[in-house]
Amino acid sequence: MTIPHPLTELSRTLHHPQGLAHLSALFFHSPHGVSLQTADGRVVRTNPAFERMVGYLEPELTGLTVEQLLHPDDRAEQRRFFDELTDDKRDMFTVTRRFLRLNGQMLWVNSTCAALRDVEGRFQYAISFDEDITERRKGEEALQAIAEATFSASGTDFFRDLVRLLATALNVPYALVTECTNPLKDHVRALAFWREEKHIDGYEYDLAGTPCQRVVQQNTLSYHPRDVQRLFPKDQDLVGLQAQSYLGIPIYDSVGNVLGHLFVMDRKAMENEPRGLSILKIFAARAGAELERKQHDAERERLIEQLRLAKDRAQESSRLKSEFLATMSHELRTPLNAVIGFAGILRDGMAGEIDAVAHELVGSIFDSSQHLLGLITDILDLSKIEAGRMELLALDVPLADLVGQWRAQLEVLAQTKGLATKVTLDPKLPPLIRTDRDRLTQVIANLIANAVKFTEHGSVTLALKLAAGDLVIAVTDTGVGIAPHAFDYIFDEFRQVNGSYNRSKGGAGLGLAIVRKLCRLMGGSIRVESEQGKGSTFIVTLPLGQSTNVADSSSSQEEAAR
Amino acid sequence: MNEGNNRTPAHPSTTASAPRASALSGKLPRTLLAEWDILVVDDDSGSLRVAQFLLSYCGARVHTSINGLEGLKTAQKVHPKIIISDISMPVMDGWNLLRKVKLDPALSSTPVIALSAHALSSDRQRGLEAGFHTYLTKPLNPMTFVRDMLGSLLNLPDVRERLAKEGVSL
Repeated sequence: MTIPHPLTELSRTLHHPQGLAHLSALFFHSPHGVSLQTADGRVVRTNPAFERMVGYLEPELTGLTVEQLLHPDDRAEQRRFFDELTDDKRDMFTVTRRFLRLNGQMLWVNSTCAALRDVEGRFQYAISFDEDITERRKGEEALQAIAEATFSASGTDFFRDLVRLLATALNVPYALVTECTNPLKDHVRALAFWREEKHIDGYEYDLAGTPCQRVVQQNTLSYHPRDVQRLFPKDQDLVGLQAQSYLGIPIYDSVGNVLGHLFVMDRKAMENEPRGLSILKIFAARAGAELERKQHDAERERLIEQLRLAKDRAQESSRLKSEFLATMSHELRTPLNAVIGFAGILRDGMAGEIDAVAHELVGSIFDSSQHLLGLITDILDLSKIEAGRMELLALDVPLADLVGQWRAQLEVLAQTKGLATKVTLDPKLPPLIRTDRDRLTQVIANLIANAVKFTEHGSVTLALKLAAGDLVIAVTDTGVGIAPHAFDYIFDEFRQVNGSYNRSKGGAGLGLAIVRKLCRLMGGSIRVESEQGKGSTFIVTLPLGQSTNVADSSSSQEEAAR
Repeated sequence: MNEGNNRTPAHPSTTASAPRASALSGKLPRTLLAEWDILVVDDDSGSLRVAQFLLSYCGARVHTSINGLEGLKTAQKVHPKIIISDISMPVMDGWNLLRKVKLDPALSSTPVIALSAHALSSDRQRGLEAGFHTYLTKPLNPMTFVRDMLGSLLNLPDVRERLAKEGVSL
């Protein structure tokens, strides 16, 4: 489109009868709309292109103003510029504006309007050149949508927006974006398929024999501006869609692997391929990023699902194990009830007096069945701790009460073997400690029972003191002691020390394992000091709960000698 | 949690016998439960016989049933002073027996004591919440069983009176 210049010369030509005829012929063939308007804005002459643009015939246009043909929002601007033209304030103006066609459609035009003046410079006509830029504008809008990422954030909607905008931008009926469904890249699935103003779901196909094959498998652009059906006679979809032309490019991830492809087809021959290609490339880049993200998301989802399944399986397995153990406990306790009951009845002579040998034998049945019961309890405890289901109930407990309970227990046991006992309590310790009474008692009772069990002569001492803010409980015996090499595994399950701590002493070796686990559960620790033949000290260190306050006292009772 | 003996707050695991058991051992008077009807319900014959022996030893008239339904029938017939019942039983379990007893106006005030091998603290908790008078676990301690049972029944004047009369302190 060229602007007539100099305008005075054109005016002169227009006033020449033949010149006007020449120009009329030119206007008649112009691809752009041309119209002549009088000073009051009325259209007096239009060319066929203008008629096609606005959808009116020339007779219908006669008497209308250009302003009346415009979108209401664009009218004020038109009037202002046009007035400046007729008032000689300007010779021409160029605006982008919208025609409202007779059929209601909107048409974007780029308009240049110039004043035609006579030789004296008086305004005669205004002449407008209107270029239809609707298609270009759609493309620009689509590109802008890409650039500004005004797509739906992600997922299916993203790809749906993509093909719709792509079809609009390139003014084609078909646009597809696909992803490869296998590593061979011989099959693709449409992520979105825009077919004649509609989304088509669930479209997938083999690439063999299609124009898409080269795009995906050879990672290259493929452009067939016409005759695509003849070039790919095996592709029945091309026939079905009446496709004549094809433009497709691969979609890559960030390291250049082909993930799928993007293509458009038209029912007529394609023109203007460079513009289509540049738009397609922009869309493909954006689609590649999104597809990669989608695949990463899918992979992450898959991993999360795997983890969730593994966790479910672990929980189920843990639940079954707990159930099994609870059932086992129940099933073992039931017959044990009769064994322990009758053994006790016989031993204590409730079923009639028995002689010394029988008493000893029955007593042995009783003790062994008690041992078995202890094992069942220990196994349940251990599995409970290991499953993380042992819950502590920490309350403020008077320390004196606890020590009294432990002292009674120690004295009763020690008495049976004629051992001396000693219990010391550091007065610096607070009167109340926050602890799970049953669990702590389980630990200390176990240590006391062990100490008595492995000591034949001498004493067992229980000492509680405050050290570095912690409660330290030491159980010391003068028994067989433990070899240094055994210190490492004495707290392991099912381990007893040969020689000193041996099986003849009974016990499955679970007691100390439970003790250590309980100490850790309470936030503390346990260690052992021992000299073989001289005795052992088991030392439990527990943090004191926050609610406790340390009694103010300077003197400390003598701690028991090891 | 106490998975072990019936009423010991916590006991040393493995082999040590509970000190309380030995402190409390000692024969009870043969007339401690005299004239009292006590119903024991258990599908395990060994358990049934142990409880029966220990209660009879102290003079109780012991009635036994092998499931909750039989137990309920017996209870409705003899109106026992105390019902001791297992939990897991065929035909009618201990939970349902307890419910039926509580719904029967003639039996609703009869204490029902659970004696079960379901020995987890959660089992005990559930049992007490369901309305068992107390929850004893198997294996029972033959030396303390009767004392444990009576200890939970000190709210009954009969029981306090009998203990005083027989000179037994728990």
